[in-house]
Amino acid sequence: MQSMRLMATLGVAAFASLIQPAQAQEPIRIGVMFPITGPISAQGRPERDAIKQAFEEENNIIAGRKVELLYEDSAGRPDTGLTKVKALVERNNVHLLVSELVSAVGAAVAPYVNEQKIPWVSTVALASLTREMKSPYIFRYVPSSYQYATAAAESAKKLGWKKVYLIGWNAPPGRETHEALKKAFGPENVIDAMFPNVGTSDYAPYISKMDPSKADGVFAAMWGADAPRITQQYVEYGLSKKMPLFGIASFTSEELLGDMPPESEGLLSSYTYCGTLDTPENKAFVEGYKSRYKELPGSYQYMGYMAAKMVIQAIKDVNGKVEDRQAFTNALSKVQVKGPMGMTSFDENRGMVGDFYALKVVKGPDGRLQNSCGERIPQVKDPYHLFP
Amino acid sequence: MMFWVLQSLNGISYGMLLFLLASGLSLIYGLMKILNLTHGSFYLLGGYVGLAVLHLTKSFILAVLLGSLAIALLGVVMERFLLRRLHLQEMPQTLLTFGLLFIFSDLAMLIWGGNPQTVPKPELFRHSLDIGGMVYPSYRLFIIGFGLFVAAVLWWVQEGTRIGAMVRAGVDNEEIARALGINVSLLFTLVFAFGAFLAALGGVMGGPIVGVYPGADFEVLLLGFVVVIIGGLGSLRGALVGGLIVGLLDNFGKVLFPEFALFTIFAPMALILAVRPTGLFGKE
Repeated sequence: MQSMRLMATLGVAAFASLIQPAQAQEPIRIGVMFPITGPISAQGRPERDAIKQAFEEENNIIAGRKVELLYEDSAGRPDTGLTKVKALVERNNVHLLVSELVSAVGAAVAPYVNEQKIPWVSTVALASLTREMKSPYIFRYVPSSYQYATAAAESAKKLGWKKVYLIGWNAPPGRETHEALKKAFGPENVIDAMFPNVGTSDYAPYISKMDPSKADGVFAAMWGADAPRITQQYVEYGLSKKMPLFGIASFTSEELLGDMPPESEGLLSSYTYCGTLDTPENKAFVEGYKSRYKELPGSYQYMGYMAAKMVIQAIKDVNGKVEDRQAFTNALSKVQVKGPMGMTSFDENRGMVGDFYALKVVKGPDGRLQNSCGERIPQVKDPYHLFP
Repeated sequence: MMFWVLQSLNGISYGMLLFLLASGLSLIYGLMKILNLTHGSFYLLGGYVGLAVLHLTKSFILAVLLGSLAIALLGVVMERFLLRRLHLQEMPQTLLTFGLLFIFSDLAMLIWGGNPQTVPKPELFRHSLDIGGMVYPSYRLFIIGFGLFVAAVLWWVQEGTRIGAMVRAGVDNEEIARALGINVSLLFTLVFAFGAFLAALGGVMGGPIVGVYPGADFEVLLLGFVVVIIGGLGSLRGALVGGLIVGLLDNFGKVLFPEFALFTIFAPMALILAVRPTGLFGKE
């Protein structure tokens, strides 16, 4: 009886070892969830498209294994996002996730992903992902709010700014930008910080409160369609001539420039993507995106594209064996990729590190607004020492 | 000083937009006793249709006219084929308009997508005025003038014309108005369509300032109700005064107590409800 059981076990083991190679031929399944409908869809859809582009450049075969992208729509809502991620993990058995850009969705999904031990390269700027969460499975390929706001403050200081205004969303990125500015300029030099609710359409009350004789410039920490809207109103109230406006993070992202008023020439920013940067990698990225989707890529597309590039390199480094999550996440934390903006990698807490550029909106040769790339700020890292 | 002038102008121009919205809401309730929750959709759809017309024809005047007329037509259809069946049944009517609010909201999302859009200003009002160092967008001043103009026209129609007299009669006592030979049924359709027209007008005219975006329908509906609660349901004067009060409260609330922006609107509303449940100009 004992030996019978032993033989059966051995038999099963032998059978399992036989089917092992067949299992390795199974495609690598990657969950790609972005807000495809809802108010953030204008950013979510193109970012997803750029991820698709990165995998297409590899013909969807990496290290000899076919790659299958499984798309979901979070609608930018935490509850929907969590349901969809659960479906990707439990029904579709994805090996890893390259997903999301909305902070609230990121915060809702993170504990579940950590519990399930699914490697996730997120494009959510949530600072807590690489702080309180610190899950070995969660990577963040987008600067955190502290990271981009500190970089912006440093850029502005180089322009001689000493006293500043801030107008930002009444949400974690806006509030964290405030913290970073207070640290960089000194709390007394942030003359006033205003936090309209997300989705405020009329900024007139806030803008007409700003006094150009009291400050050197204004930081704006709001994104998507709110960026052109506040720029428009800033111009209308005659402030753009008296006091420069500095957009935080993706404020001047290429897809938004078309909606900016012509007078927004001179708008400043500092971020990890500059559309007109002259590198072969950037040319390839821009051309590839343009030929597929008939538009110029902006910073959202860049994040998605690079998040995918990091994953592709890590899959190559483990020879396609993504089932070994330990080995895969180890490889991912060591990955270094030369992308459109130069070398980039993950830091010790799995947050993105890469070059930033001082940006200025100018009129391009075709008369349309574009970002001109100013000074390169090498290898900007999340300032953990300032904001633990 | 300049600060107060600037901020007051901001508040008044926003108040005028709210007046356009609330006057229709108020008229419809006054005559038909319908709490029209679809009014927010009228505002949003007006903005979207106006924007589409503007892209096609490049004419702001045509955008305003066609956008508003299209929504007025929608109002006619809605009143004739849906609301009419539920005459004087307040709860089913409210629920019907509530359901339509959601349906239109999703339809708008389907057709125009989730990306917020801004209506470009008419060429004439694209610049800003510089009055003694105070820079102010001329379009907002135009909105103030336009709002006052609409208020004057409405007042004249209500007080000085035959149709206005018929509406007033209908508001006071529907049955007697019918007995006197007034075609109240036609009047209902007209007033409902006109209310929709005014809301859509607010949507197109407000487009260059607040933009057209998913969720605007719910937002303006909420503010529109605050306006009619403060001003009094069924009163045009109430809609104008209420609109100005809410516009100014909203603006100064945001500036002076940014952390309590909504509180500065709803606290006065609660106060007025407690002291005068019918609003400032509402009938007992």
